[in-house]
Amino acid sequence: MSDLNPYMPLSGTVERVIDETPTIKTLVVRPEKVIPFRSGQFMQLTMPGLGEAPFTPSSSPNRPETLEFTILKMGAVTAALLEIEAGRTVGLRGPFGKGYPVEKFKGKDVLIVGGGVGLAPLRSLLYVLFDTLDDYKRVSIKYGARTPDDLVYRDMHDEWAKLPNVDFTSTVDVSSNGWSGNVGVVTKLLDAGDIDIGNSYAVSCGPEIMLKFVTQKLQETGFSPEQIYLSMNRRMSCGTGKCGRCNIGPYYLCKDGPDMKYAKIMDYPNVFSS
Amino acid sequence: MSAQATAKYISDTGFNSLLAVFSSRGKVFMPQAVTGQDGTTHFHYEPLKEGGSFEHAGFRPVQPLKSYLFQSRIKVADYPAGGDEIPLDESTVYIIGAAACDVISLKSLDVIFLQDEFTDVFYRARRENTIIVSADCSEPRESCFCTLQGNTPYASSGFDLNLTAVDGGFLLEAGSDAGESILTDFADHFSDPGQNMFDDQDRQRQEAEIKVAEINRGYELSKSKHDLLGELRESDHWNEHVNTCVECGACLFSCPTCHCFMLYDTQEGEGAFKRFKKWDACIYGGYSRMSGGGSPRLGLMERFRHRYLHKLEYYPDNFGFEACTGCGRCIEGCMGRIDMRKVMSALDLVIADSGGDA
Repeated sequence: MSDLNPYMPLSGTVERVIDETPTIKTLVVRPEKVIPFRSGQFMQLTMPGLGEAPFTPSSSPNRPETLEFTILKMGAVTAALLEIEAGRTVGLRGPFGKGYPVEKFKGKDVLIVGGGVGLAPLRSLLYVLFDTLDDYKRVSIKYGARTPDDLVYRDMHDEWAKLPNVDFTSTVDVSSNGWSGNVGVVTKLLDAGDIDIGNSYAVSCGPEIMLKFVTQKLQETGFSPEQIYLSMNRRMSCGTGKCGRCNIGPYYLCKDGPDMKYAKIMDYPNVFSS
Repeated sequence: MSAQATAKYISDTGFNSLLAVFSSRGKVFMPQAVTGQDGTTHFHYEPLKEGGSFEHAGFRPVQPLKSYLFQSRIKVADYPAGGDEIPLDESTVYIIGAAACDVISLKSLDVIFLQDEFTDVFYRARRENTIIVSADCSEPRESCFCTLQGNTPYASSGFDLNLTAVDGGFLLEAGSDAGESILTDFADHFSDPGQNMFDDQDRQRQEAEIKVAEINRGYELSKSKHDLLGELRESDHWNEHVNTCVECGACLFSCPTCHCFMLYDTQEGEGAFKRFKKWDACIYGGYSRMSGGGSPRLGLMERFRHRYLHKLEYYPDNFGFEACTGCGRCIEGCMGRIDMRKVMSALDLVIADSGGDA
């Protein structure tokens, strides 16, 4: 058994704040000591005195000296985190959860489907895949957001698209500001059937309503529930399978997820929140 | 060595003087009778007063044993750390007169709080420094259903010492090294029990088991709760049982196996922050509500059902046993008169009525 207090946060210093969209910022945090993590594992980020909220770092686990957290304003803690300035101290607990099953993706087509700020955890996975692109047959990224202003990491999209065996397609629900790209929900991008479905995995992260329709669409196009990994949304607190709230059936997202193979959870009640 | 071989007899007065020794070594809590407005008597754990004597309740006290190990509210962090960890409470506590349903509940808490990684050091400190002296039940309540849960109204393991009231005193059995040490260290308090005392113990235990079984006649189910719930997770019949639930949380806070909590932070002074761990309950809407308002258990029925699924289906999946000991506190504490036994029997009937195909 461990003698460490699992509720005690480590300190981290905010080194830089990057404006991503009008409602999303990325905090670059240098922890007081390096915290090794796997892509897809998450941290509890403490806004001192206010509380914690869970975030999967959007940065590369291969460069853990600083951690990046891309944050959308949703509640009290995120609102306060978005007001924070460089130099301030935040708290960090983790990493928690299993992370993405990257080993399984070797030799496969990997379909990455992101929605809005949901591209953040996926970016950490992309960095890992990009470091050894030869290991994967193909990385296909489909990304949707509400408007062009809501797309995160916009200056990186072209770079990603240029990488060998990588393709990147984005879409917006509502066009504006001279947007000349795709318009429509992200599931539309899943129609283009050039993926070797029998030999691939799909990984998705985004709002729950999007996950629901992406899962439906993927199954329609031939993916089995065994091939679909979803970043599930639940309220989380302890991060260690004790406080109880983040379960789907017998699984605790904080311990067994937060990315879950759809086949594991599909038969339990309220997989997608009402 | 069998329990019988090491068992000892202690007289009532001898036991009370042993309690005085315990209280010189740590805090002692034991059940004390409280008569409610409706005339019924309950037993509350209270600190032993000087010269106090043990009153054998014959059934479980009001508070679940977890209250002493997984406190209702505890500070778990001062941060930023600066190296100052929260000191663990390693003081010795003696709990006298715990019922078997509480002793066995610790199994449910241990698998959660004593995991190898992320051990809850606060629970472990209390767990390791609490001496549990259990007592056989002789007067089960209408709400007791330990036998339905495969348990007995007397503890077979998990205690440090166990008491059976016999012959103007108690038959004392050790169930741990700490219990053995007490029997050795205070040998002058004890004498060797006669065979008649063991016979008396057997008889009392059988009688108590029969009493609990009688109380619960008709609540037996046609299949395991795990399988029953697995089939009826999405059944509309859940709605029939939730009408009188007022979401007070009594069933959960009084439950000896419920382990849910929340962490919350406060600021105390410039740059000084504290974190507390506090009991929480899955019947509350805010428990699983996310920022933005979404929740996987938005409706009361879904939260109500979750308690059953978590205890009786998911615990068996994860740990191989149910997180219910049959203590019946959830039944006794419910102002809506919701009875877990009746809910499960009604669900069982749903399956029977549908010819096994719900």
